[in-house]
Amino acid sequence: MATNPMSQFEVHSIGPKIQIGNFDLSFTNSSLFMVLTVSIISLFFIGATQKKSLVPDKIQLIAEMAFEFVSKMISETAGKDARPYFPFILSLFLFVLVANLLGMLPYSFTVTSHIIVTFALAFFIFIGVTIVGFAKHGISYLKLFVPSGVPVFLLPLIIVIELISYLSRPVSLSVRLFANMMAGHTMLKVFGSFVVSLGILGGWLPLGFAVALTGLELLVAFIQAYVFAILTCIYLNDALNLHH
Amino acid sequence: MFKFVTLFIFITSAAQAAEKAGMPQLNPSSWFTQVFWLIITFAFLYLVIKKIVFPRLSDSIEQRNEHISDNIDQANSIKNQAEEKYQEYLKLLSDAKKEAQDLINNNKKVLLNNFENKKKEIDKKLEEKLKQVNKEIDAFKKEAINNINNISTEIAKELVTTVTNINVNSASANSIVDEVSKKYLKGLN
Repeated sequence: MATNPMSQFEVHSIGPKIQIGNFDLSFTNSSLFMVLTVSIISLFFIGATQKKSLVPDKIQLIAEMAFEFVSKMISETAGKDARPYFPFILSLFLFVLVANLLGMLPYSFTVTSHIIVTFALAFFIFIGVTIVGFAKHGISYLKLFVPSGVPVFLLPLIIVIELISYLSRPVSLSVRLFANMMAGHTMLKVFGSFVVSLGILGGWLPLGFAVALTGLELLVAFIQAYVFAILTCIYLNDALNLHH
Repeated sequence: MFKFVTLFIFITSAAQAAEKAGMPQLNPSSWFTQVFWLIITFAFLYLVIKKIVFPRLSDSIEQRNEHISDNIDQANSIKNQAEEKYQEYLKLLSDAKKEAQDLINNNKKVLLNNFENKKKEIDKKLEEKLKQVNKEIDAFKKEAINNINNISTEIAKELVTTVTNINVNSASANSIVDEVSKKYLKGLN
């Protein structure tokens, strides 16, 4: 077992090497956990909605609770115009949540602890939201950068600030998730290695911390998935309703 | 305090780790495969959710809501029916009460009428009896007056015979008595 707390984040290929052009697209442990995440969600939700009974059983109830949780989140932050994007937000929330939770299993790999994964998601959201905004409002979507009620002489400054804040959305969205996941898992690993190095006599204190941190990390896993989804809703709301 | 200690431990450990191996996250050699597999898996998940999970869940939730609203509608209609029946019942009850009151009033009237009729009948009978009795009394009175005349004539005749020893003609005596009695009995009749 590697004692380096960062070794848990290493990506190594499993199986044959796949190379297309200059790009290495091999199936890795990261890919495995993405597939696991998607499989778990798909199997759970397809199984839960198999019967579609009027009085739901426990599994169907959980599926419906998740559905209504996301549904409420979207209608509260982005209004009913965001209805067509519901499947995407639901997928996003479930993907991040299950990837985070899977990462809590010992010896597992946390997909969302890699900046490139969270950034790819956030960048996709950023591009998508911008396209939605321009498709809905045309060129007047640029009014987003011109808040109403600002004195004219301040406008150049405000526009620059708004533009920077808009462009930094994918960065803040992705770094928030990635940093939370990486920090939590590194801390757990550090305390875990303290338990091992301090042994049966001194290991109890770090073990206690590790247990407490595990609880905290479960909470963080949920909260970060929620934050990721709700920020997406808020960006979508800006694009759909142009509330500036 | 605990926060600072853990933070310190974390920072030092992370720094050591970064020194040793660096962050694997910042190694671009794995970026393409991660993004590639992310696109594949996430697209698959999106399709599953959009094509299967979302329609099923929104269907079953909608169905349930419909079922619930149907039940509420049904409950409301049953409640209205019950209300109607209750009103009907109240009307029946008040009708029955009215009928009973009418019956009581009618019977009272009939009884009162009967009583009045009987009273009238008895009154009539009493009046007739009274008239008859009066008639009888009148007849008796007349008879009595006639008898008084006869008796007075006889007495007068006897008196005259005993006093004067003259045999009096009964016819003349009778006329005198008649005259006298007419004079005196005028007031009586």
